[in-house]
Amino acid sequence: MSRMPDRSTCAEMADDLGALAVGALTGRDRVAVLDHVEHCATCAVELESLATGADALLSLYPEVDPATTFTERVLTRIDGESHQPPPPRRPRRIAVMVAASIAALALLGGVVAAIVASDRGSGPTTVTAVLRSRAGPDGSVVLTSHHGNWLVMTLDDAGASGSVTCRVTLSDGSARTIGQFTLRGGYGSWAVRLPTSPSTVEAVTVIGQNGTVVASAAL
Amino acid sequence: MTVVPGTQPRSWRRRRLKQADGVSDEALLTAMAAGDGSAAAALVRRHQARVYGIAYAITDDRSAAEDIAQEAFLRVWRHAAVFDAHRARAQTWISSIARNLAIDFIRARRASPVDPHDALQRGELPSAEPSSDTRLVESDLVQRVRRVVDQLPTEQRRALLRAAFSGQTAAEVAVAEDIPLGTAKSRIRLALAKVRDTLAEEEAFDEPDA
Repeated sequence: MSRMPDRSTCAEMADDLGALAVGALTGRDRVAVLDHVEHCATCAVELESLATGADALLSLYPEVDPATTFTERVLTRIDGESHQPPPPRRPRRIAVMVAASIAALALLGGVVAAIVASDRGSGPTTVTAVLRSRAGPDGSVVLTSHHGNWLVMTLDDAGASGSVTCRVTLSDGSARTIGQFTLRGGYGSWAVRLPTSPSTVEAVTVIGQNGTVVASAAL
Repeated sequence: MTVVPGTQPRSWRRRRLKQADGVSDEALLTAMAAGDGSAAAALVRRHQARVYGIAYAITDDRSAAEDIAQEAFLRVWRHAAVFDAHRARAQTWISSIARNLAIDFIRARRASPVDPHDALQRGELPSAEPSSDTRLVESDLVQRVRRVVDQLPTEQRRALLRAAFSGQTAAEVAVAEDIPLGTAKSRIRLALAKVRDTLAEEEAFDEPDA
């Protein structure tokens, strides 16, 4: 069940919306505002509206000609990547990323063997899913109840950089922000304690700085 | 070419600009996503000065700016197929990618971005004069935005440019301006709302009568 927005919170967060629209909010402030906006249509509309002003400011950056060889260098790099078609590459990358997530879990407690064993029978729950962006599979997420409840995710080439927020949608329809981590060059790997059992999580969403969905996974 | 008052595109945010070669950015992105190398070349040439300019303005480092600009165009190429023309103009989307990469760079390097106020004083923000007929409509937008920003109260303009132009966080704006964090956030929001409202009012004024 989704929460009703608190109007006093709306007033308190009015100034935060402007800062969020220009990417000037970080940390807990940012998580709190995103959490509020998700449940408050009024503030979501205001954030979208302020973002149009922020977009307009992009036109103020000066144009500067790069080196004369710039175009050729860019096109050479694009041409190089274009000879590595994404579809055949993706499944292998995802397999690697799932392995990376499990390896991260191992670092948390050396429980890989137990996780694999648990998947074969009763006991602690472990769920693995592919994180997808609009461009396709971009990572993996592992949820497990071994040694407490954990979420581990890996993202690669996610089309975003900087701080992102992770939210989970639970089986009762509610959503929770469970933390933030940083993508560098589209890549990031992260582990966090889950505030709920993995079996109650129906979806995991990674949200970028402007409130857009970077990637999501259905469980 | 002359822009007659009242004939500007209806939406300054989502207008589809056609360039001298008659091909819109959106069409180039579509062709690029389909593997058209000539479209990729045209798009890079069309936007490289802006993308490199953004990276250089934020980092003040030519080498880093080149790397960032190259990476920005690679991101554009990788994600051209999922660009949503209903959510943003292509130029805004491309510029946002370059800006975010540059800000990530300076935050990772813990370098101080260029002070936007200094840039304004040195006249390093773009000229309001259009560089050619082919950019006349776009330059009209630049003129409008610059005029709106210039008319903001000084303290609001400084806070907004620090955050939006240089990528400073609200907390960094507060320290740089020696003001409480809440005041910094308030100045950013008030300035941004004025930019939004003024541009919307001008757009409504430009709308021809039905």
